[in-house]
Amino acid sequence: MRDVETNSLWSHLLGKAMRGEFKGAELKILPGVMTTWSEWCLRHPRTTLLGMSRTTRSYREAVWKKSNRFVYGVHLGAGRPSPAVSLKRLQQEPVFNFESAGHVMLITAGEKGVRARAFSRKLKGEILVFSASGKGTMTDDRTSSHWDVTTGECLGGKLKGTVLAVLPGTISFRTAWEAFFPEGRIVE
Amino acid sequence: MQLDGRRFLFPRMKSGLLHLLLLVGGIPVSASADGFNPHKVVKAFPAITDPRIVTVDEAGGFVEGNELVLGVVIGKQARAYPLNMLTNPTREIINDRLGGSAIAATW
Repeated sequence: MRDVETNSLWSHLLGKAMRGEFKGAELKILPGVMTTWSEWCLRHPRTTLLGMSRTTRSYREAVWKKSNRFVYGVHLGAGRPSPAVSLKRLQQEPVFNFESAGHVMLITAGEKGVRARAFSRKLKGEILVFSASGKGTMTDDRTSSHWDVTTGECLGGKLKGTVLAVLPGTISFRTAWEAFFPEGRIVE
Repeated sequence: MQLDGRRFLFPRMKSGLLHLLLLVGGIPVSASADGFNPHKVVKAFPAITDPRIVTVDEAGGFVEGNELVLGVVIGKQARAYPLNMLTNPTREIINDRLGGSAIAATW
């Protein structure tokens, strides 16, 4: 992509200017969520949405059936290897604890893997390990508190009210992630 | 949208993946951009800077429940970008504002 003002050329996946006046500059990547419209509305009933005409009808829940083609990648910042986990693995283990480049992370995936989100597992200096505990919830190994897998918010227990830090990540075609992050690890 | 105190907009991205980018000022330059060899760089399309945004009621049933969306929350404001509105080359970057921030939703 290009910015209108300087015509610099940017990488959309890295969020970084690769050529032109802004070369080397980086945009902050927001932690967005890719999910179905119905699930998004349940979470955010007062949401607004883009109201333009459709350009295709292809992107529906069923697209994730070919889960081998996709990964969930986590951006750890410039110059750091960005790890990814195969969507197939996340469909099998929807509460997935792992570590990469010194970062302790958690990726949670929704039913059928149609929604995923990454969090830091470090909370107030302690490292937590999570396991699924029911529909939409998980527990940590230190306090057995209950957490919302989508928001990272502790719903009940000793840590109630605390929220895990969301990490920027995205569902990506595997081949694209490999091209942009050749040094990154993909957990199969 | 500002970077180093200057406004800018994105007219287009080439292809591929979904991201939300927040444009902020004073971002340090850190990584090398050497070795960047895109397969093809296409001519820029006009920037989308004032996209139509609607409420759930206004949208009615236009977006079906099983369609994929990219969602983001900034402050107390939530917004969804249905992927099925982003796939044409002229649509792959939506310059937008949400919760006081200038953002670009890209596909």
